[in-house]
Amino acid sequence: MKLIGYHGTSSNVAETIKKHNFKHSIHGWLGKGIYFFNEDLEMAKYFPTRGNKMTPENVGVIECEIEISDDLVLDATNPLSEDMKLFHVIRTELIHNEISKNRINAKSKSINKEKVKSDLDGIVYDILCKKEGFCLVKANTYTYSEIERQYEKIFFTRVPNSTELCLKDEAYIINKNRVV
Amino acid sequence: MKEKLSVEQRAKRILDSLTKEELIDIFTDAGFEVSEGEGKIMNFFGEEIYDQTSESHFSLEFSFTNTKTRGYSFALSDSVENSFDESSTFKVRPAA
Repeated sequence: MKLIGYHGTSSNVAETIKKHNFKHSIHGWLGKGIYFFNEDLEMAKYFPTRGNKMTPENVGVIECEIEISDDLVLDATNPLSEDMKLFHVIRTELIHNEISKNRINAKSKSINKEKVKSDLDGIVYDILCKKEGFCLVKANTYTYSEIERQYEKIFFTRVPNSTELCLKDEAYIINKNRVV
Repeated sequence: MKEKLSVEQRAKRILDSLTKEELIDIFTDAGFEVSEGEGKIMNFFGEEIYDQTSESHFSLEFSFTNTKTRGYSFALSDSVENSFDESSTFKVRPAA
């Protein structure tokens, strides 16, 4: 399949990425890798400005064309797929049985429950990618707006507003251009 | 071409290949402090979230006194007492 992904960052970093390689995120709710908004330039432009991190004038966006075999894509947009059923079996087993079986104690270092939840999801994706050979995770996600951040995210939603891609290997990028 | 296995077979293969070191790395990366122990998951304050070693988490033992005045009290063991908060409700009836 072919996918178009937009990666939003600062203008300086976008220039570096254009000339060289991406830097992989080591954390994230889809695991380690390079993050893109799928066919969503506007969200890629908005993302780096959240929390007043940078002004819209300082944003740079890289557009990438990704070509990858269907069986290397872990598609989380379909919860009924066998792959996503596997995700939830592994997640449940990790929490419920593996800790006990291996006789280890796990104490949360974070007071923020949401952070711990999202980090574990990313790690389960990483396990599936490592053990089952997936090279891209595709998932519907929700990016908080600035208004919601001002309200301290108390208005929780499960309704996605974008589709994100997390690419584990840059070799599947066949075209890379700076568009903003 | 990937071999066609059921979800359960795939899960078993992944979990069987998961080493203790990998499991420690997984929970460390997920924001947990990991140590040798009995298989407990604890929150930030060190309170146990769920006892993985026990099938039933706790049992209740109620004892009722002062039935003549229709006032009730009940006693809970220490482990149970810590499991409830002010939102917990109990329905009790006096003995006939």
